[in-house]
Amino acid sequence: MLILLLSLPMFSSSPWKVLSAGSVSDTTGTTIQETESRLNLSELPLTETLRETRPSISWRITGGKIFWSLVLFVIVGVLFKYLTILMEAIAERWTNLRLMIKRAIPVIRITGWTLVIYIIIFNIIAPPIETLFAVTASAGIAIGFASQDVLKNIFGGIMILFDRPFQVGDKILVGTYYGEVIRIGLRSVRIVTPDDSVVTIPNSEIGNQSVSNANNGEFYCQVVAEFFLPPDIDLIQLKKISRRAAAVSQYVYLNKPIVIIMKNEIYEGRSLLKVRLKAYVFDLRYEFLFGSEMTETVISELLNRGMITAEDMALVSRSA
Amino acid sequence: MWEEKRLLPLLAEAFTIQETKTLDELVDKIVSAPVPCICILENIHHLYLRTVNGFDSVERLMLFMQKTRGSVFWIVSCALFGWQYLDKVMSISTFFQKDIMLGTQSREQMSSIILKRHRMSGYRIKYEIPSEVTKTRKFKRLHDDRDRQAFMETLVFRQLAEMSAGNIRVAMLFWLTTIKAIDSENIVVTPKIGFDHTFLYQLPEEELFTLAALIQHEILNAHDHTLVFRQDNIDSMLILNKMLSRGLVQLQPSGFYVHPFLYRPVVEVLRSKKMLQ
Repeated sequence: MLILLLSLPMFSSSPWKVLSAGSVSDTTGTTIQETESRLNLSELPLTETLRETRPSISWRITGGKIFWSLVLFVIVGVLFKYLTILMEAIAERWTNLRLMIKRAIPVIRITGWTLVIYIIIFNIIAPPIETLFAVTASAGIAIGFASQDVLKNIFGGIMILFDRPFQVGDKILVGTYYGEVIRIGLRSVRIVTPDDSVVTIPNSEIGNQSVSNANNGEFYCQVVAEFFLPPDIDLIQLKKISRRAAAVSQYVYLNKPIVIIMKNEIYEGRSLLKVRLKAYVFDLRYEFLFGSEMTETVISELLNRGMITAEDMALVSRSA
Repeated sequence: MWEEKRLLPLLAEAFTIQETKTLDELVDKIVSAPVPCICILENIHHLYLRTVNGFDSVERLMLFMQKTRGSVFWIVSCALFGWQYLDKVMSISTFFQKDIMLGTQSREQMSSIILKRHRMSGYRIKYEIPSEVTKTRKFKRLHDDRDRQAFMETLVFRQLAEMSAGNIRVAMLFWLTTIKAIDSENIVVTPKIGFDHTFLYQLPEEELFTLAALIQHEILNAHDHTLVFRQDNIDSMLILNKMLSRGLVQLQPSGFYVHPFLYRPVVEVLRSKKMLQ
């Protein structure tokens, strides 16, 4: 019955005209006229009879509904695209609001699309509730089996939005991928790595493993520069040079402390001094430039002062 | 002035003690002087440079001050951002008993200073009244010409105070830009002060970092810029001259400095980008 109701309106504008046009025999060999006379229907025109007995179709999917649904999808898609561009431009202009605006973008998109789907289903298509239940029930089973992974990702995305292990603008390490979160979607999270590659990580994968967050919503994050040096180096001067190297960088965030950790390590039977210079960068986008600058400054200063030589560095690199 | 070897002649000259070869010798002579003295050292931000070896002079000065504190009452002055940077790097404020932040001038103080200076010129001030001001309800209620001029005077000085952020030197420069015409008796002053500085947000990073360094040091020559940014001398010259030709910086014999009109907007932009903390 459901299939009949759906198909008749779609494929024929007035199906009843076919029957009323001429005398078509049924399978028993009698004519329609003989059947009508037996049923005492000949007093009324056939179309009137059929019009009275036809089932009432109060709802149907028309081409117009499909058209307007598509139009709404396109309009909203374009609107969101330009809204995202505008919000990102505003975020770049005002650094203070950058993270807040970038975090708001995925929430606005997801909320917006949910609203659009609601409007299309309940206002434009507006199926009767029984139809909705029937379609949902039959489709649900098929979709459920076919899209287990997609559903896992969608639920993972919802959990990320509510639980907030990270937000847009944070730098995270997931598995072997480290980078800045640029988009949190229903299905996946996109990060841009230091090599400017965009990596798409399914939300289910993020939900199943640990996520390391470098800055946790802040602009600054800690950067560590590591050096391996000969163990007989002047440690007092080394500490002073290291601290100054961090403090004079154009990228340093001086409201957080600069820390130097030294450790003696053995490589291939040779003792080496491992120095970890930990300082904060004022904007996590300069994370690697900051680390590079600290390394460059320390090494060049040690070489200039004769505290290490090129041969020492070669020896250390061979051992490490 | 950030090189340590230039500190000794500076201090020897300040105490009028010649023929000293080391700072320790100078300390001994000062400590053995019969009468204590007061020493005022201005602009100590010129004693440092943002490099690994650029703090030696400041460290030596602090040590010198500590050793002579029994015989000398020290007063030093420093630019605000230079002081904040030195405080974060070497806790310079802990070497002093008290640090006093000089505040900004209020609108009334500013107008008093500028108008007193102006009176010496002998000209009367006539304030131009633009059409958008004549349409305001407050202005329409004023019928007397004297009241209208007083209204415009308040408006002009309110804008001056806002544009200069309380800096009297910058306010004086802005005041000069307001002079539209001069006749035999009057100076005509326009209330249209300032300009759109939103272009600062679009500056490339290398120029913003250079501006941050200039704000911290107040003045930098090309050689110092090379040391601070660890780059080639030609690259430093190119960046600084590019900024000079666009009016972002000005040049004097000792180096480049941020254009006074742009100082406050540049600070605002650098703070919004977290480059100045």
